Amino acid sequence: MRFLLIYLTCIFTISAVQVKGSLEFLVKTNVPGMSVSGYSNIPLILKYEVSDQAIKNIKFSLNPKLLKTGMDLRDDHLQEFLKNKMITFTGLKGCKFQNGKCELSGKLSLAGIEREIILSIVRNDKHFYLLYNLSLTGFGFDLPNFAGVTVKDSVEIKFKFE
Amino acid sequence: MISLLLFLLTSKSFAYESMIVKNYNSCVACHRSPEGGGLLTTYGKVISSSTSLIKGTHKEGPFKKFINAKGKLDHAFYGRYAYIKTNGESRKFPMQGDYLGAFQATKNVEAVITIARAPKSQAISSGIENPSGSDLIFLRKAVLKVHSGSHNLIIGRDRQIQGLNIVDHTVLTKSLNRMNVSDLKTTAKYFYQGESSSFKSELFFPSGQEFEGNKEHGFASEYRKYLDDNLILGGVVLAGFGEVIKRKVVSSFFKKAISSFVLMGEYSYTYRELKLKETFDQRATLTQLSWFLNLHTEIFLRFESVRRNKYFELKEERQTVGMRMRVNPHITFQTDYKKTKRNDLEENLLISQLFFNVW
Repeated sequence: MRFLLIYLTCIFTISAVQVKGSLEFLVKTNVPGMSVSGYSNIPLILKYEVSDQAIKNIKFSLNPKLLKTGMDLRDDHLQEFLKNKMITFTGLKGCKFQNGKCELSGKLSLAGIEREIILSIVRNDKHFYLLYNLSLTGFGFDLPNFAGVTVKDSVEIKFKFE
Repeated sequence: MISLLLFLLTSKSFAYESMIVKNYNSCVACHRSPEGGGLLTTYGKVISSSTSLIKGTHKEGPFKKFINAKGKLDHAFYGRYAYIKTNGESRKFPMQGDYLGAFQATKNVEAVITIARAPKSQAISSGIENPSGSDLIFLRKAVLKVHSGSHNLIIGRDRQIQGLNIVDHTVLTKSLNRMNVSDLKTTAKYFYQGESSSFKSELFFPSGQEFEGNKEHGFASEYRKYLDDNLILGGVVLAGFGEVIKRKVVSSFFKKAISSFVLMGEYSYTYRELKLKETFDQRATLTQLSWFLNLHTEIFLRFESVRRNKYFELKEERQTVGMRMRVNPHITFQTDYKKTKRNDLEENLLISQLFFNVW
């Protein structure tokens, strides 16, 4: 129902919207059959504006301490890796949905490093998702390594919103 | 008392199939053996230390570096003390004492050995069996492993391929296959561990510790497909040719992690042919639900059933509720309550076990 309202709003008006969501990520490692996944353990607030089926001015921020991997040791390493700095995203341009998809450019900040990236936005009847495939080396990071286990370069990140 | 006997040659490997709950589809991150169990890798030792109720730290001091010959050697000792109560009778005793050693000859070649000590069985204590034939001290493992990337070649004495590594269930089905026969074999095994699947295949031969008439040779293969990071499907085929009995086994299994729960199932069919050309078959199922309260504490419910027809007719059902807790990196406590109905006989079994490991 909420989505329908947002959708109708998209068509006829311009308005600011605030929705709750969550973050999930998954990265494979050099060890076959082992990956590391994580999630944000409290709802993530996303702010954006909609008009005429377009979405713009997306903004969100996340405290890395809220990212959990299911193991305290991994969580500590992750927070260390992210230097305990806020993860933020600010959309630069809006995008218009076509067949339920659009691509949005914006600035992502991780561990204090800011890069311009393109997020894919996908929506269905109940949710919409922001998808991003983060290249760690492309972002300027060394690949995290611990006791012979090294994560791979590509991290699949998915934001899911109501 | 049969249940007690079944434990005697059983190894508690500390390889938990349920670690899929934290995206460990394979064993190779934490265990030196690609099949899991036994000696831990450095990563495995750190994970074991950091996921215990009382956390420890894994550090190698000068003494450990000396006895490990700067990484060339690895040693561990696994022990187990058990308390068993069945239908009103109780017994407590040291159940297991294993020395595990590995020698890293080159980057790709490793020799691994496990010398095990099993306690006297009830059959030995009561004079039914001869202790010398029961291998109270025996080689649980003695293999040469050559590996390159995802490929491993393992030659020597090792555990036979048998699907999900849930020791209790393996012991149950094994015992019903061939009583008093160990699942340790002389093997030539190939193991492939890929990112989204694993495959192993072996030719096996008698280990030399079997009783007369129970020697068996044959081949077995297992395939596991990781459909995603929390779902695995797999299957096993095995053909064994013994002196008294020939058997063919087909089984399929799955593991699925959902949040802090893991659901596992295994379904196997065994066809047997006796020397006298008579045949009979057996169907066995396993369903287990595990719940991780935390990574150090697992509560599980298990349901197993076995049906066998004709001359060895059997209808057995076993329900188990259990709890396992890693108290600290070197001590694990497990207690299981099993309710078994075997044809018209009922058995209630309580097993509490304290596992010690030093590495």
